[in-house]
Amino acid sequence: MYAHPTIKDVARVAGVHFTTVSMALRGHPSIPATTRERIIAAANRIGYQRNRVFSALSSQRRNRQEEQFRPRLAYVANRSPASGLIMRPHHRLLIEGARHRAEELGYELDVLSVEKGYYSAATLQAYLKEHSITGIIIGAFEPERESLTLPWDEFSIVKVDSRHMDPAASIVSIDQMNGVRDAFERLRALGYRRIGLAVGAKDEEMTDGLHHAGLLLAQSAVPTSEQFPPLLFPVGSLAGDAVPLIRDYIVAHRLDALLCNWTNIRDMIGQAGFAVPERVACACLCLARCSPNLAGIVSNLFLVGERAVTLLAAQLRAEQRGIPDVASRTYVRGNWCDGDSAPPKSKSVRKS
Amino acid sequence: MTDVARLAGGVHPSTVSLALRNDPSISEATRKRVHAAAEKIGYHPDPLLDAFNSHRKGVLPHKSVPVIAFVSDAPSRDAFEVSPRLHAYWEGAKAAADGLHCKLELFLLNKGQLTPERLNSVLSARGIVTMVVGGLTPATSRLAFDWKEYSAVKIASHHLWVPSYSVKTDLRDSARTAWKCLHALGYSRIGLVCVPDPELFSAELYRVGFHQAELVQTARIPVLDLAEAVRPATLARWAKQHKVDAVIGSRGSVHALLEEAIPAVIRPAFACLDLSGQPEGMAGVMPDYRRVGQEAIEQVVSLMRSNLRGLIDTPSCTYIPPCWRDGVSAPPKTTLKVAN
Repeated sequence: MYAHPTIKDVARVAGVHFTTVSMALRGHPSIPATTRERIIAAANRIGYQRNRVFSALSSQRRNRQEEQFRPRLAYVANRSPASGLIMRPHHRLLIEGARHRAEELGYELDVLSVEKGYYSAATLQAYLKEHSITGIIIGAFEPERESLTLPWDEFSIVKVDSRHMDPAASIVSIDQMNGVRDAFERLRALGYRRIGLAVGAKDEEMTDGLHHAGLLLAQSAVPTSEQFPPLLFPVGSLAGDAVPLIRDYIVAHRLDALLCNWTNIRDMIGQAGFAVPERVACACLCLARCSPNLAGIVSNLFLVGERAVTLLAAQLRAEQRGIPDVASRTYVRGNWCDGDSAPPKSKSVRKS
Repeated sequence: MTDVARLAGGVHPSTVSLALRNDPSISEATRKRVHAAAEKIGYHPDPLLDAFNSHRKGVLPHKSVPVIAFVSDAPSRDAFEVSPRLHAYWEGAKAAADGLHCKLELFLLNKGQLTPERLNSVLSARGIVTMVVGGLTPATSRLAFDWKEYSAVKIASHHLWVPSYSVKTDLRDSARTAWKCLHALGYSRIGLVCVPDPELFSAELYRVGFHQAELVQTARIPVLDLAEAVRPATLARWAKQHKVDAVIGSRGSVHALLEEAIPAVIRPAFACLDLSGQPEGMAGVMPDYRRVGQEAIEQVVSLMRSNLRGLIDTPSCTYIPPCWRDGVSAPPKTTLKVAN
């Protein structure tokens, strides 16, 4: 009956003036509760919905004294600045990327922490409401720290990583699958032939098996005799637990190169008793930046942050809220950087 | 905006507004000048107003809407009716474009008439700067466009070496989902059969997904690759040798082959990795091609509205997961067990 029911249609059905409808739906105190309920019922019946953007815009106009209003997006993390949110390059780069893109699009980015002592779900919700924030980025929540539950239906949501937790929203992540494949191919091109992959079992679970997928893809192009199964560090392992595993893994497959997603891989191989790179070369799969003594893939975390905001803005524009039927996954490629942990493999090195 | 207008050489503020939205009625030169002026003085569009206008445009009648080019190398428009995949890409893209008040227009590349070079000049003459490259076949391996002028998003077309944003179905997840669902239905000897598909560039991700799902199993079943010369006997021998009780086929054609190769009483169950265009009753996974088209438009409109053009240094790809559909070709196994 109403393709686009307007406030005037509601007024006609409820038999009131349209300004009454507007005030009733905003919960204005001058409208009696019974009238308000009648109007809400009429609005529901004909399917009228307040346009949130319009509401935000007109409330902004109404409160003009609030100078320089800019719409905001929330970037929520479960680590606080006190526990290293800004210090850790991983989080800092994500936030910088998100902020950069948000500002390009005309938004302000609020970084909010749900660590104990900061926002609780209730105070966070109140804050978001107070600032008319409907777009949320769940920013790389760490599984062993606080989680978060909000009435997700009210928000447009994009997650950065955070696969372990609800809501099942669209995810933006670094592209570990192509990272492993690219690194594997680089090492092959440098002359290495017996290449292994070591990852934390927990990391593998959190990334939905992408490291292993990348390894399988890369291995499909090499002879069977040069395909080795990956080494998984059990959940909760520390470097001390990993070193003997690395030793056995290298010996068992006579590896000449090792890929790993832990940044201390070079030290661990050394502690396992192999000289890097003379005996075993290595490359790290998630470097924060190029490093002269460790080759590997530099994750484009800044771009991951940017992408998350781009997708969130697209959702806001299309007025999509809540958990989608189909949650997409967006992966951002990393870049290879040479380092002296994986020099070109020369003949003389091969002999020794 | 008035400041921008002054700085851009005294154009009218409404020109600024149109230019910043990349409206085709403003010449390319003026648009560039306005964008430069806006950047210089740090003018940002207000996303709230933008979203509001976008909403209002949906309610009010309006005259000019931005055009998004949907570039395809399909042989004719009919292909969009015949191929369920292309059809769904287009339908999804169309719905999203309508929702965002843009017009979607189909451009078919064609060796004789519409070469990429020609299309480039057509788009440029019409002031169209936004495009979705819609699922090109491996035959089109090169697009000679002046990429820096366009906001572009690719649909699938993995083979096309253009570093840009892309959207595709998650093939790895398709294979993994099929294995897991068959396993949940009670099958324990699940094998994968791949057949060549001109539209599918590589089945490698199917193998990866299958293999990753299969890891929980101790006994592995080797993937059967059926080349051009398909022999039912090969399939029958493989199924017997590995005691296969369920076959995952990369395409629906594997099912016909299975029916030919193995008598009904001992025939393994079957699940297809791409149910689009397959008969009702076939079990398998349905890739969400419609959602792929929709996502591509949403992303490209986002680029267009913020005037992000040209190729990117680091490609990023959005994967759309598939969904499983039960069917008579793979009934729950419990009843069969009793019969055995």
